[in-house]
Amino acid sequence: MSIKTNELTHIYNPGTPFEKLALNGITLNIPKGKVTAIIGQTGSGKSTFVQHLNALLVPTSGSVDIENYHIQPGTKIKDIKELRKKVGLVFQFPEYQLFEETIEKDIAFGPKNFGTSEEEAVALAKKVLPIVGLDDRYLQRSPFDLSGGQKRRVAIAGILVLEPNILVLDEPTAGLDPQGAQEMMTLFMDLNKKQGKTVLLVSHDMEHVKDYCDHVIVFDQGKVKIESSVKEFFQHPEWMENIGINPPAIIRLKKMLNEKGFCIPDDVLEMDTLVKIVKEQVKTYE
Amino acid sequence: MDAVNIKDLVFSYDEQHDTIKGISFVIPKGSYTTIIGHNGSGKSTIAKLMIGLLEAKSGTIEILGQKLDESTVYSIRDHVGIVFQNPDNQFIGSTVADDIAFGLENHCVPQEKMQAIIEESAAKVNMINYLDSEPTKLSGGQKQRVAIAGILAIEPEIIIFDESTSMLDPQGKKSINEQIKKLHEKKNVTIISITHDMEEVAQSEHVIVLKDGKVAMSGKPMEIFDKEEALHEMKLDIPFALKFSKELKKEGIFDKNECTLEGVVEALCQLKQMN
Repeated sequence: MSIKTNELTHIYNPGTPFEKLALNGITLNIPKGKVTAIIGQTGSGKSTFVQHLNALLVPTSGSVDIENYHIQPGTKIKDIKELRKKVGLVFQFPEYQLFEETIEKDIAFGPKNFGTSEEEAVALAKKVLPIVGLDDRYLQRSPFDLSGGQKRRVAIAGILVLEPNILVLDEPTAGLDPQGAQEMMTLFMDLNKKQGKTVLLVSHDMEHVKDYCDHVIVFDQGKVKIESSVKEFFQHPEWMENIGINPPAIIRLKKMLNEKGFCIPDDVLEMDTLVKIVKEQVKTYE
Repeated sequence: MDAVNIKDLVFSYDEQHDTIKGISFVIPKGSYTTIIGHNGSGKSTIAKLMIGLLEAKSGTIEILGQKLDESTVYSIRDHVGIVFQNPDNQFIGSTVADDIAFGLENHCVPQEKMQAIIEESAAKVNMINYLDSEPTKLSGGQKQRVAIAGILAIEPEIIIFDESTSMLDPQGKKSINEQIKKLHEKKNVTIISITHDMEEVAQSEHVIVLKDGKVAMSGKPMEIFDKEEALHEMKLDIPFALKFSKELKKEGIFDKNECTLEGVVEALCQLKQMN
């Protein structure tokens, strides 16, 4: 089932001097089994939005429908506890949330919290670790001895172990080395393609959005400014400029070339096509 | 005089495994140096060693000609600013303005000059409308901007950015990178930037590549990018502009490589005019 929001509005600290309208009437339908990118400038409401998807935040007005759960103002967490198993939310820098003495314990914490027996939870932890690219030897190690990228894998394993149908990832590759980032994206793509998980990716990395996502939702000052397929989105450099997004390198290169008298069509988004076109245009006068 | 001169530096977090395994390098004064390396290669540890937050097991660190030790660490910190990856642990003031003021007070900036400096540096990072906000209530990217404003206000001679644009949106990152460049060019501030952004590396003057606690390579960006295979082995990548340039070279269009978009465009324009 898809994720639907209807006129979702969230106000932080209502009625106080700190009152802040963070989401202003968001109506969206996020398709099941796809990879959807959520982008926008810092403070545009992206993080507030994703926290509604597993009811870490409850709407001030409007509603959210996910799986068989309906969340509206006043919804009590105890009525939707199972939702947190269905929607795995991975925060920015999730490694800061690791706390147990061993990696095994850290991963097993989630299932135990949902009533799985100790033994079973440990078995689940063992099963999930290879999915994030770490082997058995890590189980008894302290998560704090790992590098940043490895810690993040453990933190993500702690979410995957609950077998969520929907994965919401807030900047999952921030701070990783290029290969680490690519491996992480490959992991999410596998989870999407092979296990059919719906993936929502909050990202500032337009290269990732271009290469891995199906849909784009752009947030701007608490509202949805653009909803589009990825292919369509990247053919409109002017949309990106309007919302203060630095386009992928290939699109910036195209723009710079077109300003210097080259003529490169908007729908060229791949390097090999661009190489061919550029080659023809520099040799035109030979 | 060098901004940083590190000799045979060894450091261990647990007395058993060395994280920094004998590193030596020099960063010239007024240069723009990037430090790259895989996660866990020791980049952030080096940054913390350079400002005396960690103590080396052996080896020496000289900052602006002064040897770093217990007696010099505070005077050295007057000249070195650092912005960390995670801005959460860096706030002291109850408002953004107070937080920026804190650093200025520590540097004995007279009260009457403070307000102007605070406003100017907040404007540079696009946070002028948040001066009265509580830092803890800001988003991750906004916190990072405030931390950067705090450093811009002090204008230290050396600024270390430890992946400090990682939480920013692309536009924010671009504008911060422009601020960094301006500081470097106009005020001759030494910039040391720890980064995974290969486009930023291409713009810098000098690159130090760390691998497993050692210096694997150092040199000009193009010299480093030339060793593409070694970079891949170290989990690093080359910038898009260079990938594109290499394709054009394969096709016989380019005879030498470019590693920035500006360089690629310029070379293509020349070819177009020649033909």
